[in-house]
Amino acid sequence: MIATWIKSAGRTKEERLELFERLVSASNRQAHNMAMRLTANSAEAEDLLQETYLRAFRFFHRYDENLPFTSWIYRIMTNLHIDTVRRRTRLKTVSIEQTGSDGNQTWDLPDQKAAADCEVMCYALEEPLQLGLKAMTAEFRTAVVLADVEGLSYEEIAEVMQTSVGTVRSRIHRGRKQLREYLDKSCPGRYEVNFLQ
Amino acid sequence: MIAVRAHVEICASCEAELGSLRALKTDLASLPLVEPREGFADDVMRLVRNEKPEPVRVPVFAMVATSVAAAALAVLLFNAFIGGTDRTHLADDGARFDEASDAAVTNPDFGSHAPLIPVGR
Repeated sequence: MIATWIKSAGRTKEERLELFERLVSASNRQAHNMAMRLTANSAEAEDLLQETYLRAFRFFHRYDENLPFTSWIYRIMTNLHIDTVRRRTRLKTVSIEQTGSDGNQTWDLPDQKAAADCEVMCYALEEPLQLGLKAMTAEFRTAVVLADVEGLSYEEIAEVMQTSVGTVRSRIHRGRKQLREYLDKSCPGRYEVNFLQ
Repeated sequence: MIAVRAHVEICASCEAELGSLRALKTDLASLPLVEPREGFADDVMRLVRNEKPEPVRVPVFAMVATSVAAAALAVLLFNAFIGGTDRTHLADDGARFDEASDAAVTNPDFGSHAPLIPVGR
């Protein structure tokens, strides 16, 4: 750990920037896909990934170069994502009819159907799966995406989510069941458990 | 694991459950890669260049622990190579004096309150 600090401290700003740029260039496609699967929205995915890289650069001296950069980025991203979801759920619900002090309507709601995401999401199977992922609990979604979309091992997920392998197993199992329940309603039959076959 | 597999082979309910979860896993794994827009990485780097990295701070605990360990090692090495040698020597007449009393003999002002203790007499 101390060796990492000494190594980072020994680099000039230009050297640090150059190394960081190479790592961003090598990781951004995979990391964007992960952000997209977590948020199900291209604008949110971009914001999440941008904030992840900014935070990564701020704390670049803490990065252990012996570990894969993507794992470190995933760790920052999952923490940011879970924090954002928790913050949102704490937000007070306010009526959209409520008016501001000037008497005008306060809310300008985006047209969800006009969002560019529809273009990306509207594949036969992709859309319900992505919506199902979005409907899940943040911790379960993260574990399932890391395991089933990104293909990480339980040990790697435990490292990224900073938890035990047992917790990871439990989150993945419960997450898959939660997703299947959602999909049973939106695409009945495909994942139905039918043991009379 | 083997016991679970053996059970699944004879239990229709668990076999169906496993099949369903496997299908879900396969579909998730085959989701297409969603690429970032053109120029996204460049935009990120533009923001990063304006960003100030956090100052490198070595944790106080790590620094204290390292200093204590280094000091302990230095003391051990000192004792092993210098402090461990016999610091007494034989005087010309064969009597053994410790260094303090030796210094006291050559310097009359040395340790005026301390008694002169010749060793071995």
